[in-house]
Amino acid sequence: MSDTIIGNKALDRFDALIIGSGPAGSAVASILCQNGRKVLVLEAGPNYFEGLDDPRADRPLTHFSGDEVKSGRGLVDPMLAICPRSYRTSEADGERLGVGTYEVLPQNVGGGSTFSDLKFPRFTPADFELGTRLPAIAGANFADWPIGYAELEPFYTYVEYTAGVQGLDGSDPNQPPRSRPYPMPPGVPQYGGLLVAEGARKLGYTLFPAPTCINSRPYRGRPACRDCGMCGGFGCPINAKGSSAVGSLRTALLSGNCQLHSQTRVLRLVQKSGQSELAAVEAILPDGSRRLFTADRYVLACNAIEDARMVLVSSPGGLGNGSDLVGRNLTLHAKLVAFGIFSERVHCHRSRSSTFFMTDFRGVAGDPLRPLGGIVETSGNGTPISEAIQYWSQLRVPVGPRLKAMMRQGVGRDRGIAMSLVHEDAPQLRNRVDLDPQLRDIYGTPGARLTYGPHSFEQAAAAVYGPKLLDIMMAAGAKYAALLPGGELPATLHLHGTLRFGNDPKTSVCRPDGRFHEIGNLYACGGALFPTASGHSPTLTISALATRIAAQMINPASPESALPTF
Amino acid sequence: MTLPPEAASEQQRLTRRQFVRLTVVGGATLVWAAGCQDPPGVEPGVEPPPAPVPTFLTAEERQALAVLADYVLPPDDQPGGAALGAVEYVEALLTALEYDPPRLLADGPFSDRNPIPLPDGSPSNVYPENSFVRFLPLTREQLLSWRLLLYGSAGVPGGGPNDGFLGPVLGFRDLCRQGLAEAQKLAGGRPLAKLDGGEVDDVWRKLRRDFDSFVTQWVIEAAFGAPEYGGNRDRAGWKMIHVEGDVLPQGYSFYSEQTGRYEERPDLPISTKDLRPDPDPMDAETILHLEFVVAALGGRKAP
Repeated sequence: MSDTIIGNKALDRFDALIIGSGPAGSAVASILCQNGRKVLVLEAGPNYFEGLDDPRADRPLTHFSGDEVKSGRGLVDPMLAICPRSYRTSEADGERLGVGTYEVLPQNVGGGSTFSDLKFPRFTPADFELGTRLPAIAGANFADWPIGYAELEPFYTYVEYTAGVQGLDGSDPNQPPRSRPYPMPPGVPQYGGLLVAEGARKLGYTLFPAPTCINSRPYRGRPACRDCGMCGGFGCPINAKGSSAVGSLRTALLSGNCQLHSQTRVLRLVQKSGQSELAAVEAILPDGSRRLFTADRYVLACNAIEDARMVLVSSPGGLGNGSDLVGRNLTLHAKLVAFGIFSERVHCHRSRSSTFFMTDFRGVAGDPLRPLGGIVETSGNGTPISEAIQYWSQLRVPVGPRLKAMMRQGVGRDRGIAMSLVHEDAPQLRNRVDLDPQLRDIYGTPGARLTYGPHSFEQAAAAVYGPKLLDIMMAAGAKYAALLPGGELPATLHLHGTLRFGNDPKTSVCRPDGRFHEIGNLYACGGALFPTASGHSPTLTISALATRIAAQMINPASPESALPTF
Repeated sequence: MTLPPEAASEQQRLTRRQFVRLTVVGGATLVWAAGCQDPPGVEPGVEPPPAPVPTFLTAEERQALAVLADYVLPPDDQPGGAALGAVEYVEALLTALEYDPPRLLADGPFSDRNPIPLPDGSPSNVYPENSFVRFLPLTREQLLSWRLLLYGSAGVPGGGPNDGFLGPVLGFRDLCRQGLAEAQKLAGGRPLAKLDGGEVDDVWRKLRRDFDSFVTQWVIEAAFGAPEYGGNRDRAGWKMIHVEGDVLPQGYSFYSEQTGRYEERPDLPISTKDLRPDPDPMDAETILHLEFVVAALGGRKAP
């Protein structure tokens, strides 16, 4: 395994300290370092890459593999003792309904992007204006973003070109304006996806190649994808995925201006006595000892749940929480899954997780006949262990001869196609992250408590689009089709909104440039800032927004000018 | 690193086979994309004497677990859970921390099951070293988490962080031992292997819910996971369900810089219909089960 400290080990004074090395933190590090700033990145999890700071063309090497057992054994997600969480649907449930690793994201160098299938759609201009475009909705708390699509567009393009995104320009009938085409054409489509695309076409809908941050060509020193079929939930053994580690973080490390400490878990933010500024962060080192780290600026880049928890554990009532909004407006994405079973084997497990998207069910703000939904993704049903567990735990197939027969017949994996509507989740003040009153991690730090209940807003969208998904599946030739029952807590792992940004300190936690209204040298930069979640996978927008926030630190008046040539 | 004898001999065998393959291919031009490890050389040397294999289960417990493994995946014309190696998988899991590094997370990036592709995407005769036979060191936090999971609160100084209000953590080792003892008790003290099918069924239905859940999960992982964890013996689990398992470095597709096109494998296509005969068509009982599930979910059925 790699050293726990890599990059320029001689650096001892830093312009910025970034907590978390996922898409947001890596993007900030990349821009600051390429503009000559000295950056310290603290990552709680391990580093599964070898030679991330080595400029040789055959680096980094990885410890990843097409190994489903490993993925389920704590390689991907932090375990309960490290990241305990509790959950309830509302305060009426009492202190909690259960304890588990709810909505936990991977903790490792590269963050969630290391193990994601990296679907990379852009948001559309309307997604930034839902506060204005939607009528007032009881219980919901929609708001406009303090920036619009046009301001983010150059940063979308920068991320797409530096990380490497495959897609087909003009294929999405609802495509937002683009200043440049996709840097790479699409890779090989799934046969099952092609069947669904044809079924959708018969009904007047359009499936198009999914924009994905996976190489379809050798690109920037990384190879083309070989469609191993083990993508979402797996690290890429050959670095065909443009994950944050091999993209922006590696750029930062190779600049000579970055130092990365892995297995270094920040426990709390330390405030300057009597001042609204941070003095340091306290972290646990790989050997278990504690140390303070300092810098001029501090950037929270864990994820929407952990960012909020960090702020809340650092001071009674939370640092910079005069508005009482820290942790509130937690949004995930609602998820509606239609599955189809085909008589023939459609072998969706042989490719990238998802090769087609559809935006026809994104809807229009304020139109009751076309409520705001989201992107539809087509995908297969993955790998055999998860297949067998799904038969047994979700479809109530008894263990014994029937379970074995279902596996041999490949009912889900080899004959199944899923269409997943990942849709807008109404922000609500009552949906929040706070600290569980009793739950502790191994360091004695309070675990995050999620209070989350769905709003009728997303349930109405599901009621409209669910039957239409089944129409498409049957038109594609499915023998059977049905909607999978969803849980109260959607398992999208798309986390947003707990440190909402905006102009007004009464209705937002952070300023439009990511800085806390009430803490002068503390920034957020990722999904925690999102006032609304949109209906699109968020990783590209998280990366683009973090890139813009870093660029604003360099040049507040003209952040685009801080973008390196690409 | 200490390997159990069977793993050590497996590593020796793999090394010898890999040497043969590398020798056969001679000077053929190979594609090795950025991000892949260099094809390793063969390191001659004397293997250290095998260390004793840590064990946890008694012979009686192994027999009982084998019966339950075969209840989860019964033998028919294909092996059942026990023959696939479920007992060995579970025992390897329960003793994983007795190795250094712990035998929990197999290394990567490749096993030696798939060849390195040639420039046109076709398979070469060269196979990578099997890195799955090595195991990754755990971080301090992972080690502590696994110690709690396997040994429970009693195995960790100070216990679990939330024992005060959630109660002590029951480790997998104790869970397994207690569950097997419960099964023996439910069998009236007779060895489970002596029970007929109906009697095993009766025992299973009366087991503690968490124990039967873990046994089910472990048997599934053993049957369909990578063989380096002790199960999926001779890859029979994968063959039975018609999957290839890990497929890199060859993969299912290959982008040829010579032609500027993606090539798919003719035997295992991605974007086109698979023309091979269906090796295991859906049977009447599967269709009945699907119809039940789809009806319960308010779904649709093609006319």
